[in-house]
Amino acid sequence: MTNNATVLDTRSQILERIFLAHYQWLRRTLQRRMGDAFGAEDVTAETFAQVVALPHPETIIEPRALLTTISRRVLFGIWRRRDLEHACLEALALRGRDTCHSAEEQALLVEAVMLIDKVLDGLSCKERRVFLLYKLDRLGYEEIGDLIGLSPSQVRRVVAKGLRHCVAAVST
Amino acid sequence: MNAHTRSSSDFILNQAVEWMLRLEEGDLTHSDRARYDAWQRADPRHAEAISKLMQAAKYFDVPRQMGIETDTLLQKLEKSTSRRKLLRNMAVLAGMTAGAGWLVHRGASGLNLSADFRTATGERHSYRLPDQSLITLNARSAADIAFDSHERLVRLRAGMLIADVAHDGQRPFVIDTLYGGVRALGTEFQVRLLPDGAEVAVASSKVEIRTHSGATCQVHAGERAMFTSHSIETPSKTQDGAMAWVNGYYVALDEPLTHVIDALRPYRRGIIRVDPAVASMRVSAALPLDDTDRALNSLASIMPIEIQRYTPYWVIVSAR
Repeated sequence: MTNNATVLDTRSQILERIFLAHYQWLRRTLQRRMGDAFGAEDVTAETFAQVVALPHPETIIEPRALLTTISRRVLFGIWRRRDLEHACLEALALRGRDTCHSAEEQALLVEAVMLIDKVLDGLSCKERRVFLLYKLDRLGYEEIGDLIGLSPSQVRRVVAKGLRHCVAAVST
Repeated sequence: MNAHTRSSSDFILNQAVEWMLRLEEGDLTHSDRARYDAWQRADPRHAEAISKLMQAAKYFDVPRQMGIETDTLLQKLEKSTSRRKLLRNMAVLAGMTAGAGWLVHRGASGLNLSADFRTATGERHSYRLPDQSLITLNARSAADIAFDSHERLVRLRAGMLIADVAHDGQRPFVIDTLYGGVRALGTEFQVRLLPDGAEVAVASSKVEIRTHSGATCQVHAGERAMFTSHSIETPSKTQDGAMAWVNGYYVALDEPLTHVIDALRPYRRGIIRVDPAVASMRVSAALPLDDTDRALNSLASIMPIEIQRYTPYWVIVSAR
């Protein structure tokens, strides 16, 4: 058995070794791909922040493959956020009432839509519509059922599924 | 996670969802309500699942209260989802995969890797050039020099630099950028590359900007001007302290917080995210560039903001 101090030491040594060996490589690679030095720096840093958060860094066998995978996820996350920000602005512009909205209101909306997007991710088109009609438009099972062509108990089952996705989305 | 805890956590989740639906349906009797309270107290995981459901419900309240309806939101999300797929495919085509593909384009677009002078994050460096001129590169900057018998050319590829130009009656001193060149007619000036143009600030004497489209303009001591490939802004007064970074300080005089944070970024690895709610707050401060933690802390001590550090690489600046 090793004691805790040894384990901690090893962990930070492993992370440091990975960092030293691959940081510049990843940053340069991303910079070449993105054509943007500062953006690449951000993605690289966030990628390493996620590696630091991994529970068992000693199990990393192919660090570059891992870093590539994580950095791609980070990059898509950034793109996704940008897209959702666009979607939010457009949705705000389209809504029926006055069009005045503060930067704070926008930021709140983007945060909310990021989570909603995560919840909807595992649902089919029909299920998404059902769940949003329930949550946003506050319709009852019967009204939704009439709109979508489902029975009230089927609608209730879809809403339950959406709620289970909510717990998963809030947990990550 | 073993099979037992997994199945029991699924079971708890289903129970919590069922209670949530019943609560929202609003037909609980007194005894149902008592059973629900008892269930919630029976296990901390029960209460946790319910609180997560309540938390998620709040997110859905945001677009609802802003008057955004289901069909609008779905339509906008759908559009951005198809764009996401497109982007993903493009990234794969462009070789965003591990392996030999990484090495192919090095020379073509690896802009700053082969620069004569380049500084890393948090690094500032002065270089004495062959003609005794001195250039100082701010952090995350890169430049090449190309001196010949007609001209002393420094090509700024990224970031910003200050040039303290030695006199040479024969060969003009020019800082060239993507957008155009800045010719020294005197001694000390600064050029900074920005995403959509370049900025010149002059400390003494004057310089002449010549854009790639051929527009020219002189900028005098104490003035600054932005230029792009085809236009030059009318010069305006510089702030005192615009060049204080040479001495390791960023001096802000009634500037928005985002500008100040932007100036710290090249001195810090990782991400500094600024909450839009505080981004436009005005700041006046002199901040040490070489100790960004101290700089962030002193901002927090003079403003109603909070600095949250999740890892050394991840800092969020938000309202307190």
